[in-house]
Amino acid sequence: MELLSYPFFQRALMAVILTGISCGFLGVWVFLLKISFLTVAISHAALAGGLLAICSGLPVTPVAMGFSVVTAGILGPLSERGRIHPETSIGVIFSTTLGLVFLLMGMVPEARTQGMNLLWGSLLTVGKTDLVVLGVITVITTVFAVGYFKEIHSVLFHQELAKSSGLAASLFFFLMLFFCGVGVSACLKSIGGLLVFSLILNPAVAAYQITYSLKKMYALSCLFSIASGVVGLAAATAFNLPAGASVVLVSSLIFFGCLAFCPKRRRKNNG
Amino acid sequence: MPEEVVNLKDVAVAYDNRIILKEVNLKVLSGEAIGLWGPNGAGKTSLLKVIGGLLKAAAGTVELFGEKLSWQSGNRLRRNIGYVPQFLEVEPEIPVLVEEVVMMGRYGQIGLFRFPDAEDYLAVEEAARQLEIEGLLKRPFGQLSGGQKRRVLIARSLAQGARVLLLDEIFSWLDTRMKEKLLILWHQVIRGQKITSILVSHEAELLQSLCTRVIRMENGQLHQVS
Repeated sequence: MELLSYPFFQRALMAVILTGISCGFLGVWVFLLKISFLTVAISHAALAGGLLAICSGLPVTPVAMGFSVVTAGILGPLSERGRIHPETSIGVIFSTTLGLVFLLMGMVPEARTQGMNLLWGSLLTVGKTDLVVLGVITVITTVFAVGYFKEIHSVLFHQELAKSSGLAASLFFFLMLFFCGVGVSACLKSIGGLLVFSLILNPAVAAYQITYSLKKMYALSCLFSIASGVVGLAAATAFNLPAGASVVLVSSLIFFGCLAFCPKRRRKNNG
Repeated sequence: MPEEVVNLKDVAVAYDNRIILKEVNLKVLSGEAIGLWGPNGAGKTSLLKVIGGLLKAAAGTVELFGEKLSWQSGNRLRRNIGYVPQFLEVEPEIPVLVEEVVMMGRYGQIGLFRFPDAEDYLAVEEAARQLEIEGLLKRPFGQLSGGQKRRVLIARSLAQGARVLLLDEIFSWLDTRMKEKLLILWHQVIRGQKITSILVSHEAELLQSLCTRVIRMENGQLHQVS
């Protein structure tokens, strides 16, 4: 409890709560759109952008955001139009950004430590500016998810049907990808480019095991994500473990717990 | 006086250097039930998608309700078109209930940042009653049978207030009981209300018995039959 009085711990706690809310929404979108692996490509693009910023002395978050939004902008139309199988285009972008990450780490050795921080994240060193950025992005993501609930629900159900009833389905699909890019970049410093994928996906898939309602899925996904953050942070502090990894492992435990006690499957088995 | 609701002029569609539709000319008047039949790969589904604004014509023009379908007018015009695909691949566990699917038909006209009101719920209720799916409304959509899904999607188009229905093979791959039920609903609801429909099927005889005009399609071209 004493830890709660320390500003660095308060900031870390605030960061996991904000990250939990935004990742909760993003996870539902990428999972239901079946583009989960796209998040990996976006997070590695953000990582490459972050490293480039470190090497060139630019601010990390805006450059990382630029990289991930451009990646989402390239992958979105490719996934939608289906000329190339989405997995193929995601694989190409992923390997390219990964190559860029290792190239930058190799070329500028002094950037390696900071680069590793972006890879694994560092919850306990989150600054005030990082928190403000996280807060703004979380608020905008929440307003988008709630304000356009019906349009997003329709696109998540079936993009072509949504378009057939007169909705701007492609626009909403691209906006969801845009928010993924921005959200992932905002989590780079706290959760890290490698681990953010798990924090986005695990809580959403866990929530999917429980409910048939999108509203409840959003709520549960955010709740599981926040719980992963708070419990993971507490465990990391208590047992002197890396915070980002603890957070992600708790989210995995929640996922396996929901899978084991999945009410949907029990309902189906009971006929 | 019947209104011209669909007018295709020299429409062509190509995909990956392959011509799917060529020189398609078709006028559909309000109240008509057009049957489209032909072998697999004839371009029937592509034609439906072009009319519904879901597939872009590489050449020619598509007019709906006397207005050219374009990037600017697309979403507005599509609100009057109900599309029922042949198969709808969704996960069985997807978090969408049947009543939500029917309501989604109205989302285009409700507008941004607004939520369904009493009138929208009434339209959903009425469409569900007509298609006899009241008992399914609270069930997850992904767990319905093929025939039930088609009834729900037709209800969705009715709730939408669609003036033209595009129905892709809605009588195919169904057991006899479900097919008979759907045929009764076709006569009672769709023909009963004289809703303009374009029905795709590979069963020519079935179309002859259901439609006011039947058109054969082959190699992306239309051949008038009756």
